[in-house]
Amino acid sequence: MKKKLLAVAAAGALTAATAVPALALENEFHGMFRLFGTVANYGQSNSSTGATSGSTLTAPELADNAPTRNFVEQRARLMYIAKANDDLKLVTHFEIDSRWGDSSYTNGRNVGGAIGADTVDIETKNVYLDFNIPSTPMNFKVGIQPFIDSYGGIFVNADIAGAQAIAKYAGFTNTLGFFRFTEAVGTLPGKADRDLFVADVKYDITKDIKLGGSYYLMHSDLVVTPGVGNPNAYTHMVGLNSSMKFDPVTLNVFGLYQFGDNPGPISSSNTGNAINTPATRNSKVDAYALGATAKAKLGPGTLKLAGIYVSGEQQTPAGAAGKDTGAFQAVAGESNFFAADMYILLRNKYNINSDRALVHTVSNVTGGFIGYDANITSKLFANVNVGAAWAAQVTNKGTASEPDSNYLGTELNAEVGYRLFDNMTASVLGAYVILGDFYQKTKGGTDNNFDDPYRASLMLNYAF
Amino acid sequence: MKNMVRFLLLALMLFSATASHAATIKVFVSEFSVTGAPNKDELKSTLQTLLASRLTNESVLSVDSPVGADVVVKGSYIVFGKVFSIDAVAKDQGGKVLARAFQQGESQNDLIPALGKLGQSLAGDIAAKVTPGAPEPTVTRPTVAPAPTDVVRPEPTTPDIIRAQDQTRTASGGWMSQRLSGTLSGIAPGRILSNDSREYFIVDANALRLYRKGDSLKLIAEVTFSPRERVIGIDSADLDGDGTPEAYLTMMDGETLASQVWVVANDTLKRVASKLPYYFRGIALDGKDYRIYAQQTSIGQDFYGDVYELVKKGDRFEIKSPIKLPRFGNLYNFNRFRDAAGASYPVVINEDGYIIVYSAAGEELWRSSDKFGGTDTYFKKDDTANVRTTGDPYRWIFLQQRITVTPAGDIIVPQNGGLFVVGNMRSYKKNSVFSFAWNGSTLDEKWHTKQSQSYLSDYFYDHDRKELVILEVVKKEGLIDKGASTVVVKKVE
Repeated sequence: MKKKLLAVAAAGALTAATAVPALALENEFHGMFRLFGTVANYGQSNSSTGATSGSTLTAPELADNAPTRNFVEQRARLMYIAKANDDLKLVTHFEIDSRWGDSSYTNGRNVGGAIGADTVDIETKNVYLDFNIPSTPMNFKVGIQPFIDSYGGIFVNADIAGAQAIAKYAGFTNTLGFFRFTEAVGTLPGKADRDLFVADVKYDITKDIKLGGSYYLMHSDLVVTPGVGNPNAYTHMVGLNSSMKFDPVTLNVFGLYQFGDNPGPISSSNTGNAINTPATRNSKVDAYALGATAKAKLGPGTLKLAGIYVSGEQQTPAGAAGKDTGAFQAVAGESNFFAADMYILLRNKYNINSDRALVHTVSNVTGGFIGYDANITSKLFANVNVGAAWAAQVTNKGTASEPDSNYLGTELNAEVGYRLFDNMTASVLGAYVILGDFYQKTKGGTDNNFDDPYRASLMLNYAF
Repeated sequence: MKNMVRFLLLALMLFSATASHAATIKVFVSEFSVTGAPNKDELKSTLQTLLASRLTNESVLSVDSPVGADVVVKGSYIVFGKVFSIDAVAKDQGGKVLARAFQQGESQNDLIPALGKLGQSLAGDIAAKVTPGAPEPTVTRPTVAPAPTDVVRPEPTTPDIIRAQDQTRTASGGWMSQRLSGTLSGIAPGRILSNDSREYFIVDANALRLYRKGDSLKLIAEVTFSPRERVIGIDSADLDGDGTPEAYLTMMDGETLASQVWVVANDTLKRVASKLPYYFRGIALDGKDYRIYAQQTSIGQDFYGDVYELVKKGDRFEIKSPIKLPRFGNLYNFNRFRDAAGASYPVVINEDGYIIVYSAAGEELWRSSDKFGGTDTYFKKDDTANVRTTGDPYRWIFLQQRITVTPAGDIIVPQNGGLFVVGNMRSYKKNSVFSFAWNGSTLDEKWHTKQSQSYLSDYFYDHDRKELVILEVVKKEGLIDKGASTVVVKKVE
């Protein structure tokens, strides 16, 4: 299947390259700059390079008498698109991140904010060719490109190397895709790797109802240690999704079922334990995710509702000792449910390098969220969100470490912003989480007495 | 003897040289004015030098100072897109125009040859009219012949000093309104009153205003909308046949199309329909009847399906008669014209700003080399799926400028230009309006308006009055400042 897909993609690229006339190049630029000034009482310590990286917010980040810290971080992105003609363009996308004061005169990503700056820190996010086959409804995207699943990103929302063939016709949008996540280091190229195959269909039943379905196949063959792990794990995902508009309400619902071989933790790492994942032979996965979001016009703004259930597993670690797992296997650090509009419970769409959340990788969570976005004037806006979340399953079941409750906590956040210019906003936001007993207490009587995590930020956001 | 011969020869040479010098006309070429070209300062003196050297012949001598010159030549160099025009006027010391001439070209390669031709032409005219050293030319020439119709000529230049009484008049005898507060985004014609004055519907993102044109624009009525609503377009037509045009406002309510229709009643604005799920645009397809057309949106597509004609039945508005669009076409960037044989040609401005002419079968026949259109009018839709990549939770959808087709089959399109147009950030600084005619193979330019140093946010062409009515943003909205706009009426003779 892989070879066929690649052959189709290569043939498509060749056809496009020979069919298109040579015309003047159009240069298209996009980009963004975001700056966060934050006061918070949670987050990891500096790494050895000074860089921050996103992660799940767990102990010891949560602490009794957690120290307050303040930091400023910034992110710039530049996208350059070289458009040869209506049917062919090269898309490139770069990123420059740093936290003020992190380090300088060095080489590495996410740094360069210390005095002196002068750091080689440009990251390449995307480089891909986007082309149409003239006189057909076919579009191809080939290269390192952004990809989000059809479920709001709960499985994967990342930049991945791969190829997509997309056909739009008669109300259909059909996609076939192949993505290579990782290769194990120290192996022959393409010998031990993790790939995702995508078949996705969307159909506009009416202008206000869209129905979609998809089948994802993950093949994990990262194992390099004989006798350890499952050398050929096939994990299947089938799902349905739908968007409907019943004025004034817009509704999205989705469900995704995951079954087959347990792929183990799906991460971007290709060293250490990752090269032997899935770590357990013959472990199976039987997991699912359900979600719904709704928006409705109300007063001067929009009322938002969202809910999600993503299955978990009681065993620790999930799928250990040859046992099957019920935990949904999302891509670690590359999945999200932005519709919740949380800052601490779940990842937020605006977070950058200090991105931390109680549920960072979408798994083992049940949540309900309600919010309201208000346009106070044409320039002044505000929003408020409340969300509560529970673990779908408590871990360490039957042991003294078993959490006293599956209640993760309740977050209240609010933002007030002003559109300084069409493309630029300045806003002040705050988020506070009342930690639940999933974190605070255990069945064994431990009372962690963690401080409730909070943050307050000033954000400047400029996008073009 | 030899010395005597040498002396005589030398004397003869000196005499002949002096006599020759005495017969030449001294011409001073002043510094050029340069418009629309980069390196302005450098070009001013370069062009001056080039023309001065090319003017010189046996009758005309270029001099370095206007003092003592018989003739002073002033030149201008104007660039529109890739086309340039060099114009020069020669005047005597009394300020009387002796000759005018121009040359044009389509690339920088044509510039020096054009200067050569211009110099020869001017030198000939000057030599024919001027008696060297005489205070007045003895021969008068008829005014310069009108330019052939296929030649680009800049409009007459605006006087250097505009006097107070001229402030409401454009160089072509048109009209200019006073400064209007706000960054206005759309204009549509309203009623023509008994005294022949015209009313205009003008919108910004949050208000509809009715102005009446007199010596200035007088605000007659105004309605404002909630911050959740956004006006993205205004058109007018008399669909109910009562003799009074209705205003068709394309509006977004949040992310929902919720357009409205307003009428004028006793100098007030009255809403007659709301929550209409259509984009509106007034179009005279094939240059025929001006009608309101509509298009819908869907969950997955910004512009969904065909374009329809909007009709009013009683109190209700319905859509009928679907029109298939060519590639890149949507309600806001397309029109259709017919050639002399009656063949129909859809025309669009694509997302990159190029005019594309299609055959009726949808085959692309021609594409402009220069970019046209250009707009800062947009609405946003939720784009959470791509926010991780774009950094913007919204997708911006820009609505292209109108393509007008006249009853004669000519095509009128505006052209906004600027320092930069990057992604969603538009910084249009100047505009011009162009007219084209289809010659069977390409669109030929017929005329264009003098470049204006403002962003053209909207316009309409009144064929009956032969007027271009242009809404210009003369100052963009700032952090605190609301910006300013003006309405300019230009005569198209």
